[in-house]
Amino acid sequence: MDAETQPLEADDVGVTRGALPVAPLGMPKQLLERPEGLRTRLLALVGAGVRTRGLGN
Amino acid sequence: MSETPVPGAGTDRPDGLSGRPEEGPSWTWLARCAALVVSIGIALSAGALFLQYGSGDGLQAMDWARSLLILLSTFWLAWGACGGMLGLLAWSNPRSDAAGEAPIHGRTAILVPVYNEDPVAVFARIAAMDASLAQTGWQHLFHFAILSDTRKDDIAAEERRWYLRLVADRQAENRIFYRRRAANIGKKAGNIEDFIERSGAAYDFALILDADSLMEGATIVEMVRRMEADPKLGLLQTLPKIIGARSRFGRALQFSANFYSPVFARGLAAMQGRTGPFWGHNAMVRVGAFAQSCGLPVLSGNPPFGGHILSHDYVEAALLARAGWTVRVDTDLEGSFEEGPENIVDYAKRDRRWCQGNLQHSRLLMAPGLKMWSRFVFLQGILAYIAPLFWLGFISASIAAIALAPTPDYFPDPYQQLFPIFPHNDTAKAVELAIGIFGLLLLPKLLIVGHAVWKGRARGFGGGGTALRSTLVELLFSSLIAPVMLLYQTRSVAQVLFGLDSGWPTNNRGDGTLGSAEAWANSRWIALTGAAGLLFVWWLTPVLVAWLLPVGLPMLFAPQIIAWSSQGRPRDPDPARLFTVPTELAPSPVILAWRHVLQGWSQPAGTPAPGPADTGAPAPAFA
Repeated sequence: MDAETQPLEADDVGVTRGALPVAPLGMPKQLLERPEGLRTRLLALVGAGVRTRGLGN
Repeated sequence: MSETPVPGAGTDRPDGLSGRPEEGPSWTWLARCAALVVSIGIALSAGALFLQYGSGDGLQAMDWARSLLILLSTFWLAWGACGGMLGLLAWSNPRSDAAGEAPIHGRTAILVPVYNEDPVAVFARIAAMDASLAQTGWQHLFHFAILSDTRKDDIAAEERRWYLRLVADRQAENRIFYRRRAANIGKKAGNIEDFIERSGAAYDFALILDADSLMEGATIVEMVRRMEADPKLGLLQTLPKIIGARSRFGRALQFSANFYSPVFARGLAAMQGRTGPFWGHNAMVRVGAFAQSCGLPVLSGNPPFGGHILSHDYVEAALLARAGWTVRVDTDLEGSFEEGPENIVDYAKRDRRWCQGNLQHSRLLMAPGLKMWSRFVFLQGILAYIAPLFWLGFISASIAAIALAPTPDYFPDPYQQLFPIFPHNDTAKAVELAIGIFGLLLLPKLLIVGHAVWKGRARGFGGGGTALRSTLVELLFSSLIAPVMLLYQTRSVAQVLFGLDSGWPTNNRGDGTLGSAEAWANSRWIALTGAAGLLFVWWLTPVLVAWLLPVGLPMLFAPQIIAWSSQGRPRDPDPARLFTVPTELAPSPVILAWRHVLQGWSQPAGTPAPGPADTGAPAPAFA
């Protein structure tokens, strides 16, 4: 095994038993929601205006 | 064998197409288009037929509404039936990606996430799989990692004790690991992610299991071979067969999963091409691809629609496909097993969780960059829970139509008319429609029986006679419980829409027998709804009551059906027994090994689990 292995006991994760390999691999967070753009903000603004008028304010 | 990836390889984005011309884009699109065109055609015909039936006394708004509901419901049924038909066609032209006995090189972590499970049963499965791997000669390339998210300290203590027993029995120091997270952030997806972030770089592949998963060592090795043979393959899903069912409900489900599912899965495989499914377990991922593509964000807002992604597997499959990796289900891979719920209440609880997860996917329908088929899969998952509401809407609209029907006018032109004009009687069209809808439900399953007899597959199900008898009884049984499931699903959808979170309940994998009191407590609202519905219709128009009895009676007797169907007892294998499946007549070696370990580990109640320190050298479970 290329990765460094070392026994871990009661580390910060919780409890680990055995020589679980220490070989970090990043998992970047994926983009699933479109970031708010000008169009989205404008729509939200219009929507909020309509709702406010609907409430009679 | 083609080039063998080395550790760390396979993390680049793949380009081009896989070398399987029969599964190329043209075939995939042909299958998709054929299924879509046929389903839409059948749905439009059903809607038109109902409009003709409804026009007998003039078309009212309620007729249009019912016609639309029939159209939508029929589309969903036809889509399912098309999947079955495609599966039968695909079966006649099987594809195998078997890579023979080629040596494997990559290292694989077998991940077993657990959450308040019975450690004896879970760890016995690991022992059986490890022994099965040992027989392949490739055991040294596999590590097991038990990833505990258990919250109950007493169960966690048992896990640690039985872990020591497992390691001692299997002489698995530095091959089988156990770790428990202090906080179960992100639930199962977070549990896997935590492992990959800490240890992922040490492995080429990861076999993701559930606590109730069991797989043959030879199957696992074959999966590695296929992953190594196709460097663009990011995820390989097997079709796990349900085993070990005991109750009437559990055995019916087990028969269904063993007999029909392989055919429907082949149909699905024909349509999805390289954008296949991930069902969360009994699947192998290329670690580099998974790490690169599947880091799940927390969705904005609160559960049930925001927060951590509940049905993470569908999303991970979509993300792998988005990054250009192939996601595939190989239905020819045998030796992959899981357990199923033993009663309707446990099934409904699991369904509640899946319902919330699938409806949450509505947030991801427009996620950037996803393949069109991935979006369609999300939509299908949502429809799976919304479609039953169409039937409920149709029944409600039909009752309302009676109340709102105009008084028949037999003399629309009283000054020039000697004889009355009666409304058209289009009952024949309604009968045609009913036959068509029942045909969509029955035909695929009956064809599967015929196909199984023709191909010899029925032998494993007790022969053609027993398979046909089992299919007919399963159809009757599923029709009987359909109204009960309809109400459970309706409640689930309503709870999600009203913002109630299902949380993360532990799966009940125990005996599962429900007494009358327990069944009543879990379904009295269904019985009361059925009684109230029938009384209301009787008050409104008594003639309609007889037509509603097939729906109303199962609701009324839901507690009795739930209690009765949860009962059952283990019996010796008998080919003539209803719902017989191949694993009952000839259990796979890993199933026998699992039972052997369980038997060896059985301890009198109250006896603590022995560890190596307690007993010196415990007798190994394997000779």
